[in-house]
Amino acid sequence: MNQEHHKRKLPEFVHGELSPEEHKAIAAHLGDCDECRREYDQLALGSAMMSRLQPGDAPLSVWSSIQEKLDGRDAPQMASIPEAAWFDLRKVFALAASVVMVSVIVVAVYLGLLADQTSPVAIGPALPAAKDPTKGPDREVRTLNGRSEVGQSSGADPGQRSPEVAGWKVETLEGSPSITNGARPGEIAIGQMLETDSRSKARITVADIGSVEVAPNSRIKLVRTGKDEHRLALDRGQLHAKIFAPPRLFVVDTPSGTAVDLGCEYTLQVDRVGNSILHVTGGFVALEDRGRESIVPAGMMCMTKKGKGIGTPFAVEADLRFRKALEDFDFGAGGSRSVRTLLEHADFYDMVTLWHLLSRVSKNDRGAIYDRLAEYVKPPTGVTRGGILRLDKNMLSAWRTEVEYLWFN
Amino acid sequence: MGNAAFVLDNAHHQNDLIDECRQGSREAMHSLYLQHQRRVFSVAVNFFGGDKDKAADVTQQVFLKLFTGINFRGDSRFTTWLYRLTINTCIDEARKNRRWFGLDELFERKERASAPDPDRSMRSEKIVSEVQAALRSFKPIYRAPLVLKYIEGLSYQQIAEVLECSVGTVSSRLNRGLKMLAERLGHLRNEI
Repeated sequence: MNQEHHKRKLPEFVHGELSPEEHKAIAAHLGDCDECRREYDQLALGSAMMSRLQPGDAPLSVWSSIQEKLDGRDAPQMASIPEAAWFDLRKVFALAASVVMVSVIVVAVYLGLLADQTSPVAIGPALPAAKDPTKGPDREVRTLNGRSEVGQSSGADPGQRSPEVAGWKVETLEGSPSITNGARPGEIAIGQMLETDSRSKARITVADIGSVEVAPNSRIKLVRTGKDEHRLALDRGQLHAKIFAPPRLFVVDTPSGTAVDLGCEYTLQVDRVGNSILHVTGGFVALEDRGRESIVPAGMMCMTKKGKGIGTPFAVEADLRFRKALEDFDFGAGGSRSVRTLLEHADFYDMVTLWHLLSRVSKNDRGAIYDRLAEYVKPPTGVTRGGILRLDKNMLSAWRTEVEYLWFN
Repeated sequence: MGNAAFVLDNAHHQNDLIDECRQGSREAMHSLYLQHQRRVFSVAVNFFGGDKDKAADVTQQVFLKLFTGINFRGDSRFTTWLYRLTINTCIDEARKNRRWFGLDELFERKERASAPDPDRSMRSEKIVSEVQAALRSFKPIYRAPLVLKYIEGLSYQQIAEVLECSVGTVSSRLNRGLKMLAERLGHLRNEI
């Protein structure tokens, strides 16, 4: 047997998984072969380290907690909570949105008819107007102010209307967070800034779609809140967002990119320079900057650098050398050299990163990325090497669906 | 304890117990819990580098999933299925990860200095702690087979069944995992 063959069998040798004959042959070989013995020494050392670890019993409190949960089982059962699969979430959102829209339309039509028949005064909240594609941020604020138009029909003078805007509830978690521009206690309004010092933390309730926890040493501004979009700007510091809303309704600007919620939970940090790092823990977030987009699923992170834009997502547990090479590729002068290092350290868990790289590497490097990704995620029917090399959008999209499915499952 | 579990779990009694659990018997649930809690907790606590709180949380999640509707269909051994559920729950939990983190921490992880420690038991604790920390930094694909091999004593074939991969994959992941451990903690060589 050659040495390579022995190296492959060494883990089995260490773990006593070989037949007595094979075991004996390898033991004899190790006496003669320095290279295999060095390899064996490494495995034996790792094995000795692992052998230090011990099993243990669960604390007694675990069974009590299980019982409590079982007793209060009128709430949804754990098994019925959907997995954080984007595909499922999209279906849920789509269904929920459809139901809500249909309900709103039915109620509105009904109320509208009722109003016509009974009174010239409008009943209930104003229906959302069709979105004006030309509408910019200023217009959006005016629309929001115009909420009191509901009251207009009851006789209020539009000229006297207060320029009040809807505020979001702010809760102090620690210390004394401050809100600029004389906000109402416990509330932040459009244009106002929430700041935390080194000892402060706060929680903002984002309209009716979720919450944002603001870490110490952070500064965050409420830019906009309306039916089509809720937008914050994180100048520096860190926030943790938990949002349950249709995709793209919640947006956070940073100095180096924009995080667009696609139904998720995530942490976003901005340093003093304006660079940021995003860590998604549920669902998906899209990072966008000047036409470039990275789709970051749960379990992945993505960096942005001021003046250089957004990077490529990477798995939270990606190899450190892989991360360094990716950073060099995204923000340094890495190029093909970085691609080679990336491929050297890539594995199955880097599939989402590799998919993003397909359209970011040079044409010369694309084939190698394709081949590696195809090892981990079989291209679906209709997706060909040639098509991917010429960046066929439909093929890229079909493969991405497959990659995301595997990532979550 | 690992191999014995595979022999025991095939017993008729196990299936009866599972059936009783399905019917809502709290007594049966407690029996099943007592039989398997150590297995689940041991995998989780070592998967999370000795984090007992996290392991307790995972243990709770696993048994709640078990008792509230996830169906064991009997097409694999119960412990194989339970290990799989445990590992998957650990991986889900690992993905949630920490809520607050620092850029420095993420990109400039520094090697721990290994100052000599005169006290033997303290040294031993330190070694365990360093092994746990190193293990926790590995990707789940390496952590899971290492924990199943060294904590539960499963064979390559059994690990392959739990992780739903080939025996060759188990071998190569154990190979890489052990080497990473040896490389990371090479400074402890003389203390092992």
